[in-house]
Amino acid sequence: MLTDLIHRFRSLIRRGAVERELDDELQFHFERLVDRHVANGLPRDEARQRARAEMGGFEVIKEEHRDARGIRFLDDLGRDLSYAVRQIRRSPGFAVLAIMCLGLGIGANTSIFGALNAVLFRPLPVDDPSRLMVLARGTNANFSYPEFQDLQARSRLFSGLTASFPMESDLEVDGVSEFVAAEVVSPNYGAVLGIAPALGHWFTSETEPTAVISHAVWQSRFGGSADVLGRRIGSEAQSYTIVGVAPRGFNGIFAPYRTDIWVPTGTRPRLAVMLDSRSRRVVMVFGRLQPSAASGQASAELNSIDAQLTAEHGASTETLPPIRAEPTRGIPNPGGRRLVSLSASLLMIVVSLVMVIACVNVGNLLLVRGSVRQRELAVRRALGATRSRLMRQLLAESLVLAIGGGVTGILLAVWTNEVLERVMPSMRSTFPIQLELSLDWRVIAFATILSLTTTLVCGLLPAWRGSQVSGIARFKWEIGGVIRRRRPIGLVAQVILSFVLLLIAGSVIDTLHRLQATDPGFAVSGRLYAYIFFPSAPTPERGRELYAETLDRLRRLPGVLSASQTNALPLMPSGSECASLPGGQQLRVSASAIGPGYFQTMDIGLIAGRDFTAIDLPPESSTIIVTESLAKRVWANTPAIGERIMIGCQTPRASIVVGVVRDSAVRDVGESPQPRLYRPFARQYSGGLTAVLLETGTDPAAMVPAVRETLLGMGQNIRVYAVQPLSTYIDQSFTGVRLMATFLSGFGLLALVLAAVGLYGVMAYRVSLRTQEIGVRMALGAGRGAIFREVVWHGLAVAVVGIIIGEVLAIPTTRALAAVQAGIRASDPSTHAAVAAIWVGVAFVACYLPASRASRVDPMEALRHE
Amino acid sequence: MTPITQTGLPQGTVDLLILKTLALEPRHGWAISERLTQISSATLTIRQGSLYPALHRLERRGWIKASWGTSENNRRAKYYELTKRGRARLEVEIAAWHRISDAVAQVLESA
Repeated sequence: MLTDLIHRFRSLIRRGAVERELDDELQFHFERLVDRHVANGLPRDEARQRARAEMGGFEVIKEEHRDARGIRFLDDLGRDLSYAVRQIRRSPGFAVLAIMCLGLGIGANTSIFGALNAVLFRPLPVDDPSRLMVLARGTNANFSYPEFQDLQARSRLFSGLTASFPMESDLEVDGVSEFVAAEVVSPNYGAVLGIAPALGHWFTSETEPTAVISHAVWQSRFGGSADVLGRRIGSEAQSYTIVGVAPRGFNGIFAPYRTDIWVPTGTRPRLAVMLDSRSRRVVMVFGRLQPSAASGQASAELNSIDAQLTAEHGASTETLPPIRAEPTRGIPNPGGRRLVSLSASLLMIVVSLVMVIACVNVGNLLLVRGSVRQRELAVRRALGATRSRLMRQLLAESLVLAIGGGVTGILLAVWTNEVLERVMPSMRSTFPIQLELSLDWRVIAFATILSLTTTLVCGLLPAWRGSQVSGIARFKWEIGGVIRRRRPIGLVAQVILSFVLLLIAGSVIDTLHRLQATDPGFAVSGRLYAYIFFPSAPTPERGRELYAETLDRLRRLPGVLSASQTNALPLMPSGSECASLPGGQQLRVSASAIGPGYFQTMDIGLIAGRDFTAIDLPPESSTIIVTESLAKRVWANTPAIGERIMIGCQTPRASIVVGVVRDSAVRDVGESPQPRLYRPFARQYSGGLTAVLLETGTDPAAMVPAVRETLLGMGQNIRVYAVQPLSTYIDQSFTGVRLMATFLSGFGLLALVLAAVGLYGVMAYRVSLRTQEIGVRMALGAGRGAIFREVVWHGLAVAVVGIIIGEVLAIPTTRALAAVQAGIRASDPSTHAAVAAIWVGVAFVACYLPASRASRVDPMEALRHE
Repeated sequence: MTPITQTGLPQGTVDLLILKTLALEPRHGWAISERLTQISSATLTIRQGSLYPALHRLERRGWIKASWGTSENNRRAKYYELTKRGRARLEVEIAAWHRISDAVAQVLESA
């Protein structure tokens, strides 16, 4: 075997020497044969002839040898490729156009695949990622902390298990606070995951207030200075010492959000309630397999431990799927993965359509080239090339183009990734988003496979057609003979695809505008908000007093018309309560606490009853205000005022409704009305962040510095988070849709450009072929205007057909789209009309140049070109 | 006796014959074909169209190795000789050949 390979290799790289040796050997044999014949009495000449006849042609033997050597395929391929490159160099315009089209298509596909890769396939940047498992029950990757501790203690097949509780938190550096994503982790986190910190080390104890910060924070808040270790930072009213910095490229397990701070579980006393409860599933569990263990065994072991735990502590109320240990891939959290992969898959489909358009372009270009080279191919055919040989040759040209396109595409993707990386930090919805988009082997493999597939797709038909020359006939250079009246199916397909893509982009843009124009149920303009927190307030009462004082000071600022507070802004997750319905079921209702004057400040209309007053504040009082939808739900026809309802999931208490207000957005702008109940802030507040809301007469943005100053002037270690106009906050909630709209518009335009280029190319070619025919017609009296109109009409006809079919196809497409992405409805007719008008305009522009060239044909010149 | 041309001989048999011819001493291609014709009383002839491919095949398998030398008539020629593996292979092939030919003979002799 080995010797075989050595010989094959040698035949390849020292081909000249090997061929010469064979020559010499055969030559020797030949001479001995001649000698024998001479010895038998033949004259030398005859002897030579005889010998030659007996041996057959040397070349034939050598060919057989080459076949036997088994490198013939590679041989031919090499020759084909170098010939192809020479041919392509002779028409640089064609080459550039084809490579650009392919490059754009492949580049777009590679970029999106890169995102898909980061979400679905790429393992975490840890040591030996194939041994790192994430535990999940079905699609739910959450466990309770006591459960984790038991698994950790009893498992033998894992060399280590670690738990992480991702949460929204804050980070305070030198007095400036911001919202960050944090992970509260068991102390062995770094060791189990296998992450070497860029600086310092991971945790040594569970209770010491030490923290590890992200690489990004180290750069942005500490300037990347080496003395960051030992500095103190604050988070959630705790002071931490920095002991380590995470390496670049590790963004935690909360993807796509970037974790900015890791702290040990023992340092968050306020979480103790959650972490001690066996029924609250709040942590993600990761484990590193022992070298000898397999994931199947490990899963089995975990399930048996789980069974033990059920026996010891009683079964949980819900039936849970069994535990599975799987290698971490892409986004570790199944919920997050599902969320992002949906959008990424949509983009992948869009971008594949763009690729199809590009392929049709290149295919057309190749077809054109094929028909132009009929003569050359006919000659080669006459000289003995087989049809398959010609096809291989033509496919080799497609391959060279595809390789060029592939390299261009990869470069484009790299550039796009760099741009995205720079743009991503500003794309925060609540926390910074970071996805590792750098090219890894999977992405390169994808680009390569795509390029090769493109070769086949683009090049097969043209190669088939091109090799179809039938020798003699093609030597005649007829006018009409070369043009085959091909139906412009490819062109129409391109128009359809790009039209549909533009329509989709238009729908999403429509949706975005509609969302932005939707009334969220409360006033947005002229409002300002700030999230604040007094960490050192010893009791909730003191906290309440501080907030009341803050509001007083803010009210006294010039320009502030009213001020109020709440524990949860709309669109932020707020607590929820269970309301018992008459039928006995429980309804989950979102609940928030509001200060006096909230409804005025937010301009939420009171429909019935009254707002909270001083009599609602004592703790014995159990009055609530409900939204319209909740009132309708529970007391369909009777007025809700004065009615009692049981509120509470564990221990229901009777509550009396004193007011009904209009519905406003609870989770997303534009959703259907969600039931909500309100309670007085003074009664409910038990510590935590608060949002203060200000109604300002003037531009709220201008008030921001004054508000911030007033807040900081309160002292008491106040933590001030975002101080922003409410409109900015609402805008940020649309980030996802806005991103989609941007991407889709970009790809839609790309598709448009590609299709327009295709249209232009085919029109130009048609005109150039028909030059003589046009010359004749003009000599016979046809006007320039008529010729011009005819060419343009031709092109527009293609566009119109495509648009009509596109419209028909768009209906099921938008319906499918609406099912995938919430909020998208079939766009209104004006969008359709606009896109159609754009396409007709573009088609006109694409036809203009060829048409004007056609109309300017000089009949004498044209007829002379026989 | 009309010589059986190489189209009548299966590839394995050609290999076997070549290996055996080289068992005693290294030879070049011409000498191999001559010797074979000689010993088989002109029954077996291998045309060079299949001789040389066979030689190169055997060389690739590592059973024979080649080196350039000077022939009897002072010309440059490529000599082949058996390798150790080739010798072992030869034994195996001879044993197999005997088994097959015995079996064929048995079938032919039965009525």
